[in-house]
Amino acid sequence: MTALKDYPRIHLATGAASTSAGQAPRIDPQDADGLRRAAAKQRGKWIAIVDEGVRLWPEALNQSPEPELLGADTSIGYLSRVEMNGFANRAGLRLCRRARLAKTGTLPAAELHIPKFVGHWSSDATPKNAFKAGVSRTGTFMQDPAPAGPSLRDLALWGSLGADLRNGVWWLLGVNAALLDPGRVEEVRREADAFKGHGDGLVRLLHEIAREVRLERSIPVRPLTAALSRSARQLLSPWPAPRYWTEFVERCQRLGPDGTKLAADYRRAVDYLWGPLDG
Amino acid sequence: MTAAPRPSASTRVADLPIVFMSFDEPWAELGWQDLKAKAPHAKRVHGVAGLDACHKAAARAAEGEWFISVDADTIIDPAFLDVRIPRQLLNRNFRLQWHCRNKTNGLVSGNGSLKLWPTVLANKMRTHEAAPDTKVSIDHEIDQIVPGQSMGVQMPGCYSVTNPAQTPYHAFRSGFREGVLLGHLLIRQISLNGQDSPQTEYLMGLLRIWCSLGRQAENGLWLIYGARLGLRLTQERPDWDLRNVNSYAWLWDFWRMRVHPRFVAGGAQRGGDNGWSEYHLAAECRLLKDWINAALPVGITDYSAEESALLVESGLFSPRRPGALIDALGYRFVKGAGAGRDIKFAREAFETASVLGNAAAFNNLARLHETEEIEGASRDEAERLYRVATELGSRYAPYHLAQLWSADATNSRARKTEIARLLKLARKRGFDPGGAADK
Repeated sequence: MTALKDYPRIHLATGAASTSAGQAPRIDPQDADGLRRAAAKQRGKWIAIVDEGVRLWPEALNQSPEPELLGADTSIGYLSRVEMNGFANRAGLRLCRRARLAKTGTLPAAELHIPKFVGHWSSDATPKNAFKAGVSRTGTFMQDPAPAGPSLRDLALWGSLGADLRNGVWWLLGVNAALLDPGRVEEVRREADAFKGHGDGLVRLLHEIAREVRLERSIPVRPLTAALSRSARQLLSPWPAPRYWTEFVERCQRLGPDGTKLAADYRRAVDYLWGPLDG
Repeated sequence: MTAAPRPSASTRVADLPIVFMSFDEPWAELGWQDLKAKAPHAKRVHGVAGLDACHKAAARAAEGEWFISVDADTIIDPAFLDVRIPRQLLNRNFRLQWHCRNKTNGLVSGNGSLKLWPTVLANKMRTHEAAPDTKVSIDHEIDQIVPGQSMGVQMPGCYSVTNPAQTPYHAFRSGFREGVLLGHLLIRQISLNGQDSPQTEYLMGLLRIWCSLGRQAENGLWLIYGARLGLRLTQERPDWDLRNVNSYAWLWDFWRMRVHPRFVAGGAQRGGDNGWSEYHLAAECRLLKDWINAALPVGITDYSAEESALLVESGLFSPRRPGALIDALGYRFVKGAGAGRDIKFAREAFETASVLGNAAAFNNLARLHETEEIEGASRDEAERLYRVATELGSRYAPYHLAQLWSADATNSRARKTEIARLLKLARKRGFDPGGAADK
């Protein structure tokens, strides 16, 4: 048994050039040599890769992956929670076979996401970061492969929360621009740039874009004030939405008898959270 | 000789008596017709004053060993009738309960829930208006009916929607009773476990929703007002008799004489076209919010109707801490108290709770491996599970793991150091095997 905190870790960070002694290495995800070297320096069968923008929760690292999953020929990952709106995000933590990474320097995608959170994900260092992240994550969220993808209600909430966080209004502008029309993202960005340093103008623009999203896309977004956003996130379930459980259970069942047993355990557990899964 | 028929592994809900309980709800007839259409064998009790008496009347109407109670505010999902109840849970000591979704505020909780009662338990309980004068009873308190035996069991799934906010009075009554109940439990929980415990946070989470959401619904503001007023009363007036909420006659008088007149024409606040002033009700709601937020770290909020709809309709509220309840059920089947011993059933409960990260469930699973009470038991697995439970914060697992290792006479010096560390950790977490009962 190994708790997640006890696995050697690599943090992915675009543009990272060096590692700090005594801390988990930070490596650019494109730097195959760096990944190879970092993996070779560690010990053990597995290495934990922490995606860019993910801040791990110490208490979440006390959990341990089930032996059935480590025994299967698959790569497993844990979800993170988008800090701005509380939704699940596939960027998180994945366990990779260390020897393979030390040999190839290539990061495998997680094939099986355990429906549990390991931390928060955000990208809010600058207004530009937050806007870009809002656009790109909205695309990812809308195309998420989990069964019964996001509903209009999910998208509405996704486009309404986050104003309380650093550069949160910029994030929401990116989200709402992407919800409105990916072809108009650049136009919205230029308009927003004109309001840099003028918070009220930026908020007015956000509400104008949100109004267009409601009218043109029939998505009932309603960007909340900072105070309301903060309190609304507290109300949401601490667990990933049912579709991530459905996906996990389905994939687990393909892993042979051990996977089937685990799938049954997860199916019973989710029944208490969200009710019976379809199928 | 013919073998006796094998007891069925489970019982279908549709094969059990169902009783609809109504009192003064103007919409009750519609609810009753809806239930009759889905479950033609359902029966009804109407107009019985007092929640204890009402459940006893339902038990009589059921004319059987069990009955499922459906509140007048609650509409069942037809899928509920196909739910199968495991043989082990159809037990005279267990009152089963399925979560219910509140249409006004979206909360998924025990409020308005479908319940399966053993008739004998319903007849034995003395709660609400039937409790002794010396006792404050505003909930069913199933565990106290037969101490050490009876138990409320949370079942998986949510098969009903409750809509108590169909008139201003009923919305207020529903919110007020829940605000008083949760406020009362909150005081008790804070005194037992402090303000930062998971149990306290759980109650705060429920109150946050009751006191914040629902504005989008007709009469939703009355529900919020009731919840805030009930919560404030419990915190501000410790001498106030909580048992008033058990009496629908008292609640009606309170509404008719003290609450409603404040918001109608000629009352303390000016009335609007609909007989009461939404503007003034909202203003009083804000004052209550300010008082509560200054007194408690609940963090309740005023949302507009649109904002409230966004959250309520998201469907993203789930029960917060089911793991502990499932683990407790499994533990009953290990100990056999009121349930009979069934290790296989207990194991399944622990495995389910462990998926939800419950530390006690990992510890209990480890015990089953260590004591070789389950198929495929192994010492290695016991050790692994104790370690997981220890990492997750179990107070018992460090001690048990230390004991497991101590049995080995060939322990290395490093292992002995680790054993000492684990024992120290167990003590730090409040488990001192010299004094406390083992678990």
